[in-house]
Amino acid sequence: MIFKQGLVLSSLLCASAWAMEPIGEEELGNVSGQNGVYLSGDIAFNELTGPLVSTDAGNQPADTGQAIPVWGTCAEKEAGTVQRCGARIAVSTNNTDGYFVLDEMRGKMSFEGLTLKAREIVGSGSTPDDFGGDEVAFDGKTVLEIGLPNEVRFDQFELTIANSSHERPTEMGYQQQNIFGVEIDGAIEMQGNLLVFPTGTP
Amino acid sequence: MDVRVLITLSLFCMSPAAFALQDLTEEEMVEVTGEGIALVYEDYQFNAKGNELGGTTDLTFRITGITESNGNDVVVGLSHLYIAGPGTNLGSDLDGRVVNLGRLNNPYSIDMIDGNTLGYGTPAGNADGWKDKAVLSIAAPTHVIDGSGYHCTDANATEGSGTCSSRPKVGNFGDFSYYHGERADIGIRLNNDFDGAGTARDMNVNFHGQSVHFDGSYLRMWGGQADVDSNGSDDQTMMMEAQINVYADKLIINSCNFDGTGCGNNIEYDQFRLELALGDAKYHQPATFDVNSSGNFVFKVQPLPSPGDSRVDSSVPGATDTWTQGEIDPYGRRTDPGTDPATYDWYADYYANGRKSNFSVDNMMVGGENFGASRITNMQIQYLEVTSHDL
Amino acid sequence: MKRFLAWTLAPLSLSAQAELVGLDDALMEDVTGQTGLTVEIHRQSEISEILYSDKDATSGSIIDIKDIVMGDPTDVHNTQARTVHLIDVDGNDGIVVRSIYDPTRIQIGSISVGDHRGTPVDGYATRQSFGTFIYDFEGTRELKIQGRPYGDTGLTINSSTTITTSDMRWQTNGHTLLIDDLYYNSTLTDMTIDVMDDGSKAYLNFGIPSFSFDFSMGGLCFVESVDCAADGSDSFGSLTGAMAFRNSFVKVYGGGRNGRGITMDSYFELDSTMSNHLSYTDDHGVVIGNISGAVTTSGLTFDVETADPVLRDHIAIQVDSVVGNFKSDSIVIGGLKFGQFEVEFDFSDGMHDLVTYQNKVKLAPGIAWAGAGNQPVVDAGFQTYMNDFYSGVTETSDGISLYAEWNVGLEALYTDNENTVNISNFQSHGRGYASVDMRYDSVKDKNYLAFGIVDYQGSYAIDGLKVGKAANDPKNNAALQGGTELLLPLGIYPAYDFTMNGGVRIYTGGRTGSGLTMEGDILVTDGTFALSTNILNYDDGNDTNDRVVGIWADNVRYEYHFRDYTLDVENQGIKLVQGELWSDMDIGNLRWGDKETGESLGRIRLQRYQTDSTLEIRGAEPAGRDSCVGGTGADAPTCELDGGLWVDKGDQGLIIALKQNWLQENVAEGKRNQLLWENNRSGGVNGTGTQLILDNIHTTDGYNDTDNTFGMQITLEVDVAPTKVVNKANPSQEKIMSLDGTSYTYEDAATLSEGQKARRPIGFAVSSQFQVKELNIDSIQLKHPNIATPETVVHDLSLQNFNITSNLTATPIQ
Repeated sequence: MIFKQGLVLSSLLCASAWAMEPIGEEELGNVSGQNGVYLSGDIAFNELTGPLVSTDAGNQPADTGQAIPVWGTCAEKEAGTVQRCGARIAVSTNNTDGYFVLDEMRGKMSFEGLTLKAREIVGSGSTPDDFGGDEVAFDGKTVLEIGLPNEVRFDQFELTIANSSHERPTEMGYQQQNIFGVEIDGAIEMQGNLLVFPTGTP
Repeated sequence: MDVRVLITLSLFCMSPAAFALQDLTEEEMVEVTGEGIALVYEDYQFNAKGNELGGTTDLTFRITGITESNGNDVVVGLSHLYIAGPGTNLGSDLDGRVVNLGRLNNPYSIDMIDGNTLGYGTPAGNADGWKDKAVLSIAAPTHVIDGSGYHCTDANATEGSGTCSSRPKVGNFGDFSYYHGERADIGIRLNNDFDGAGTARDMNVNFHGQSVHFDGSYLRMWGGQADVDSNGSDDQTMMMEAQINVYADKLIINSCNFDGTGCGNNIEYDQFRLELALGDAKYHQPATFDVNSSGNFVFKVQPLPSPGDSRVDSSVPGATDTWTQGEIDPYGRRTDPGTDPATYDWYADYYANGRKSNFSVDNMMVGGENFGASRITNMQIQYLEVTSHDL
Repeated sequence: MKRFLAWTLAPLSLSAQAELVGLDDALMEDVTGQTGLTVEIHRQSEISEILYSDKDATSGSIIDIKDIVMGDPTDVHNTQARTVHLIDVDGNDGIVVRSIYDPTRIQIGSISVGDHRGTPVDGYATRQSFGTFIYDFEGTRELKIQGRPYGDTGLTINSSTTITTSDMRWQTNGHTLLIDDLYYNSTLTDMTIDVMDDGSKAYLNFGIPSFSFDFSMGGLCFVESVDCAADGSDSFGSLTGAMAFRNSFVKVYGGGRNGRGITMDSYFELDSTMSNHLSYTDDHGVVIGNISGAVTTSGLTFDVETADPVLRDHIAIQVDSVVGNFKSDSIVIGGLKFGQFEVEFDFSDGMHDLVTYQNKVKLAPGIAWAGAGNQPVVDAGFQTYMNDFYSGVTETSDGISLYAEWNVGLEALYTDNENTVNISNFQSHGRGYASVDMRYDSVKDKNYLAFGIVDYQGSYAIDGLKVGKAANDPKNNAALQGGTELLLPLGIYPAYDFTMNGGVRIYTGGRTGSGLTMEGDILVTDGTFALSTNILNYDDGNDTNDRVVGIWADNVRYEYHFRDYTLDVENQGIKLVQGELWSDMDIGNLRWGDKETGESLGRIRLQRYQTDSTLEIRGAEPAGRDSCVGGTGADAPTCELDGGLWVDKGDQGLIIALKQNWLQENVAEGKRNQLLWENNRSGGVNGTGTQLILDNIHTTDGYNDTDNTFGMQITLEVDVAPTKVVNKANPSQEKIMSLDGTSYTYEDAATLSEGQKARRPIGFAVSSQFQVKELNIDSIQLKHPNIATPETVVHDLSLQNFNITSNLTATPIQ
């Protein structure tokens, strides 16, 4: 804390000299090495279809006891000739019937500047990292840094949270209770870094 | 789909023993330090701002599939959701307001914990519910008891003033000495559109927390035998124990037009503190989750074992007891004739040391009027069952 | 390394045979003088033994070549082979010898060294040899030997040689490796031979201003029959090629590294004005064209030495250095272009952890690990595989045992449509033993090449990547960058230390027609490999400041078993079909920071079990691949309007397609797909801690638990292309490289000129697709060390109908 107060004093004396700007890449280049990767682009879930198709054996009304095939393309779903085209995750937390389900996952995310690299925490020297003083004890410790993109754009991203009697919607006797759906379309801002490192007893 | 949630609460007990608001007892705070993957968000901000608020981002973020009792759709739109540094003025000034979530020396963590380091044994030294369990834990930064902690809800707390490890901001925004701390401004604005067309029944509700953190929260998962579907026989299941802590210097609730204008009076909760304990593994009360064959779920905090249950201590026949039936017990109460002293001790231990939930607000202000303090402390859940039904 | 040595050795051994034949002609043949200057030789001879010794008072040993037979290939022992030499002396050309070789066989019964030779006392019952070598050929040669004008010493030689219908055979223990249907044509122009003196030592100098050859190999197969096609046997495929050298030389000195022996220096330079190329044809072809490069070899020595602790007496070949480069401007596989590839290499001595690594190979006859009790000792869980591998051979079996040691640094460059990636400063060193011999598999009824690996300790690391426009020479001008993380999905790590043991069986014939089939069992122990590395203070002028931090898999034990792996060249690419694989990668510690002392996340163990998985590497289709990354649009303007980046992928690129069928566990054979995380270990000992287990992970076709043909399908299309990098501190700015690619500035993204857009940083454009009909995790379990059976927490987790597509640009961070 004395250290902090010292900084407060010095900042009062020469406040105008300091600008609140993130450290540029050039400056970091002198301190740390070069590694990691910068990713931009898009990731889409079942944009047009999944790999299960309406003509599959096992997918027909005779197999499932349902009126129309369960799986198909998203165009077929639009047209009402199949029930679903999204991805599904089913989880059972015990050996009884029934699954917790994330269902009908679809949509696209695009982003610029998701970064991934090994980074060493700088706790001393002229340009230390600022973790409110914690950086001093962590000087030289390596973390995996996932740099969040400033903006993630969602394009018709949707999923349904549900409870289901069966793992597969094509199984006989399948019943499902949808709890609610989530739809995201548009841009969400995310700044900062996620730091990942081991702790404790291996 | 129209799902109603039916909550069955039985044996819901609020211990009147201690009304004085106190920090968590030492025993509750002695968390096992992380063993696994540490996660720290550095200079973090999350901002999802919808169209209707004129956000720079062209966003639609909706919860769908909910219908009200008349069968009409209810669309819940999240017009704004933000996690940012302190001083955002209810989310309206986010520029540069970033925050850390977790500290390098006390991070969020995904760990696997040896249950034998969580259990303390029972008064009789028998196994408790943690014995020989490998426990998967997802945990927020912890409380600390070494004097390095900060008051949990005071946005101007200094070191040594409390038990929370997450720190409030230091200095003034823009100064070189400023450090944004690990307590965030978090807010959510919900627009409930009752039939999708915009009617008089539509409503907006906004929650804004200032200097918010979740120290001491965790979710622990392990495997074991319990009756999850209430059919009278045990099932192999995932078991859970959760601690949900929310601390805020201020929690503000208000209601406005969908575009954020015309807001009514604020309801302000000062020094908001919620410490919710779900499940108590030590006393064989895990929380369980089950989906049945009709697709409905059952969430339970398993019932406290009854006297005579093998998991509850009982006297070993022939063993020498330090006190006998009918005497004054260490808690100053005369035991009932026939009470097994070891069993009595076990339950007494449960009431004294079992996990308890607390809630407190120092001041509740509505439109500037102070409604005073409100506290619920030492609430113990002996049995909880939440089921969904298709109506 | 091994391949390099093999190539170096091949010409050496051929020339050695030629020398011997030349010597013997006059002495032992049935020579018939003809009219004029024609000599016709009817050759049918046997030499019982030739000895070569470099033994002196302190070092050296003997090479012993036995049972050399020459004659007609149809019956080498009883039928004569005819050779006609037309000898002329010409005022311009000097001595001219025009030779015609009728079909001839040279057969070397066995070659042995020192204490492996056995003894006539027991009829050589304990003799171990390198095996039998048989060389059949016919052809013509014109040789012109000229003196120098003006009384200069030395000779000038011109020659042209054509060898056709030639076969080479290598046999151990009665099983044959046949190199079938060889054709060879060479022209040597104005080679000079001089005895020269460099001031300290006399040497023989061969100046080679121009030498070119072209060759073809009809097939390579493991059969005893006359040719690869004779019994319908599958072949490895055929090879053709042509190379032209210029301004090259070879210097030969007497004396080896130790005492007597041979030392050579040489320089070979490919004549880039000629068409140098290599082609491999399976059912489809791989063409490595427009090859250029040069190699300088210093201090190549040849000695016969004694007393290696494992190999005993052996032939030792060592180089002081081999430095050179190799470049192909055109790699075409299955009809599609892959781009350009270049490698610069330097094999020289180097010190690592206080141990000097040299570039050498020791060869000893026989299989050093054959016979009861001689098998290499590895860890208990793997010993049975090593014992099995060497159970088919004995102490007196023929074969090659070798020791190899290396230290190399190299730079690799890949260029795709004028954009270059440089894998910077690859460093590798290591040492270990191996065995090679031919055997017979009674189950498959096929011969195979048995390749054993014993205690191979190796290490490699790279500094990182350099990328840029080829014209800007990124290897020398661009800053070092990260980005090796992108290679992780292919199992390529930026650094790896390992000890390897195992046995590999190689059969010829692929899944369809010719190709290769492989099986084997490999164990890596004491492994440490990097998942991401970061060299701190790199190039700050002080090498001692360099520290490598990263994320490491340490204390790795990795067991890898594979059966019926076939490698075929198909239309548009190379396909590896993985008949069956099961493996167990046990990472003792996943560390952050230093690779040996960094903080650990605990133990991670991944067991895999798959059948009929495939890996295909294809060239990209030349057209229609340009894509809009991060947006939507069919052309550059509409894409940019949507906030995307239009990536022009050109006509070269790489497609990697994986299909993996993850099987249900096979309890009886202990094979499964399982991921385990363990921490809280007592003293770091595996099995003493708490464990999280994802058990019996498997794919299905989505409707039941048995059908499993679709598997998990992953396609990656990779190009080196301009990418878009936004300034994180100010997202309205984009990173633009300088004209020479050595530095960059951030420019306003909204007002970029076309010139600036053309200087966006070079990176990787990756289009990928991940598909799975159903991926199941049967159970997620938690296990406490005090209880035997794990407790199940999640009883079933399934992912159904996943089709994840992505268009990403990945730029190494500078």
